[in-house]
Amino acid sequence: MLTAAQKTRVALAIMIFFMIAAALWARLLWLQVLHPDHWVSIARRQHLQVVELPALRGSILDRNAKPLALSLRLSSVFADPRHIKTPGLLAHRLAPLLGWREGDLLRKLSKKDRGFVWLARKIPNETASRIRSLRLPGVHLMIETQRFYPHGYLASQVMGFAGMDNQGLEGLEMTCDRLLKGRPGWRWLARDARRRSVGVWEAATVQPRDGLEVVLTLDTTIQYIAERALDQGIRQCRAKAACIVVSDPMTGEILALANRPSYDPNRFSKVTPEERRNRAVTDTFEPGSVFKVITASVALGTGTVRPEDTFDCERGSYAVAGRILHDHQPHGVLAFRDVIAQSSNIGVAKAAMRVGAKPLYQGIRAFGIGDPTGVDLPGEVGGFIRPPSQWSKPTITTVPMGHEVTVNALHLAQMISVIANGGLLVRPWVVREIRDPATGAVVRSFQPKKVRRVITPETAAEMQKILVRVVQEGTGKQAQVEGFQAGGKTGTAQKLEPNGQYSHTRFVASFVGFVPAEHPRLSIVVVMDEPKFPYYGGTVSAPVFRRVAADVLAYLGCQGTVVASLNEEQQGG
Amino acid sequence: MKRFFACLVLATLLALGYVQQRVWLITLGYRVESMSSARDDLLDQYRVLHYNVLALQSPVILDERLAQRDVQLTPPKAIEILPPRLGTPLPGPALSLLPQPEPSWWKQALREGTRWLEEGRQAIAEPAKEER
Repeated sequence: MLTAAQKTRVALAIMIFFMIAAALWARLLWLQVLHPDHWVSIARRQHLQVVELPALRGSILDRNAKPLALSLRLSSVFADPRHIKTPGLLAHRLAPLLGWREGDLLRKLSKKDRGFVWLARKIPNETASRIRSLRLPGVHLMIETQRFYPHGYLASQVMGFAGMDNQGLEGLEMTCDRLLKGRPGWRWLARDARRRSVGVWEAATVQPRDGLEVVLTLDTTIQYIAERALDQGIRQCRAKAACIVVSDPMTGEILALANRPSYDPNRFSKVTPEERRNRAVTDTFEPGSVFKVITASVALGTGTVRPEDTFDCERGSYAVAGRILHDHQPHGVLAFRDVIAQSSNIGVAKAAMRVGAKPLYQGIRAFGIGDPTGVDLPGEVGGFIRPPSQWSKPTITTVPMGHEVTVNALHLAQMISVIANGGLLVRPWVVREIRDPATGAVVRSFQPKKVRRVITPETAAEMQKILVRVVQEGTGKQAQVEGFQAGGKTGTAQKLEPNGQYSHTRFVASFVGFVPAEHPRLSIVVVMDEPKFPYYGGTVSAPVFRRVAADVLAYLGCQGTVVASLNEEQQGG
Repeated sequence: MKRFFACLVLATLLALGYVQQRVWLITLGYRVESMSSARDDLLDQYRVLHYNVLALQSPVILDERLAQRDVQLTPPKAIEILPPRLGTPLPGPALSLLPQPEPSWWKQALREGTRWLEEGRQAIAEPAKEER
């Protein structure tokens, strides 16, 4: 039995125990129930973090849904030097994997004052797996997206490129950036002491929304055919630069657009501004004789000239408005259709003088010259023509043959499409649809835009016949496509020297045409900048037209059928 | 006193159950994270492989490879192109012309069974939509 003193001591001990327990319970109640926020926030900071879930940039597809640009998720490596105890050993193991020199990597890993240093960005998945398997303390991997262009240089100036941070920097990547980039998501992620992630179900998660897909009017195969022919052409004539536009004359859809020099957008950091330039859109030039298509259309359209009207081409030399006009070959009296077929400057000037300055100017403006074409590509320069009130005396003879007026290659595509489609000015365009990659639903689709009627269908039909004659008997014989009738016009324009005089060594050689002549499916514009001798449009640009037209028509399955129907028509008529 | 101990035991069991549940949740969290990471890796690998196929099919790449090996191609003449009916790829056309032995009943049953089992099965990384 306990004595009274012992009982008192036991009671005291129990009382002290309960008092301590009560104090602990009270403190626990204080911390857990009454004022938990402060400690909860500290704990959350230690093991919870918000992780951004990057959105995948939308793909750019051609008209057959073949990707021209797409994004892949790749790993990037970063380090937290404060948590690295043996930077030397780490550098020794990591350097060969990342392609660093060991000394450089060691210097980076030894920066103890920094909590984050990039070691490598967007590395191949195999390298990432090997680094992950090493389980190096203080070295971590994170996912980033990288833009890839599977066809290399194909249509590079149209698509442009996206930079390291997936921001569109050029071309459609830039103009459609808002649609392509998507919206990143985020989630709360719990990490344990070893920084392994633990799922947190009760925490809010916002899923990323991947960027939309942009479907173009371009066709990869036609683009390749056009670029290959352009390469071949530029090699043969050693031109400084070149561009080609292949479009559907009925709708204005651009099927291929290529420029030289070009670049591979997968290596955009090494590209010069010259290579990046989309010359077909940004560069204007005096078109030369291809512009006679507009002059002839206006002359026929206003009814002042008929195809069979004759003009004396003065044996190649004609003094007018204080200067002497020359033809590259002397001609005598020619019917107007032959004036165009033989590309006589004198004949065209005389026809333009018969039309008059004001109607000629109005006709040229109706073809969209002097305004941007409105193509959905960035950086278009709209060309230039002065109003008749500012014309000098010789202007009425120079404008009709494509001088004192500037255009870009798309203006020429628009111009030849007017002839090919029966007289309608159609806006050239590249973006066909915007699609949601998750559902495949079309978010927005674009339609051909007919701007206005420029010439009557009868005038257009007459012009088609004249332009077929150019290819069959005139300056564009090298544009003849086997099995088909093609129409077109050659042009060789002297470039302006810095002193304001026309050069005798630097030219722009061009060819504009459509094919098949009876039911045109393609409008093709080829422009060669500063080709070496022989520098004529009919010699350097027309063969490119022929190669592209032949291959594309075969690709479209048009082989030979049109010629058969034409022969039948001719026999019948 | 007995009731007090019973309550204590019950409370302890409940507490242990709660802790066990939390541990289980965390273990599941690790598994889910690991599987999710593996799924993401596989999808990324699929995308990379898809990209590689696209790049290999690209006419630009094919052209470069042919140029490197100095291979000159000429388009086939009309007479050399097979009509689509005859041009369909058949595995080993010469073998298919040979008289084939009749498969035994159990082989037929096995083939039918396999086909029935595999019906509707899809690869995990199937593209969202088929390319036209």
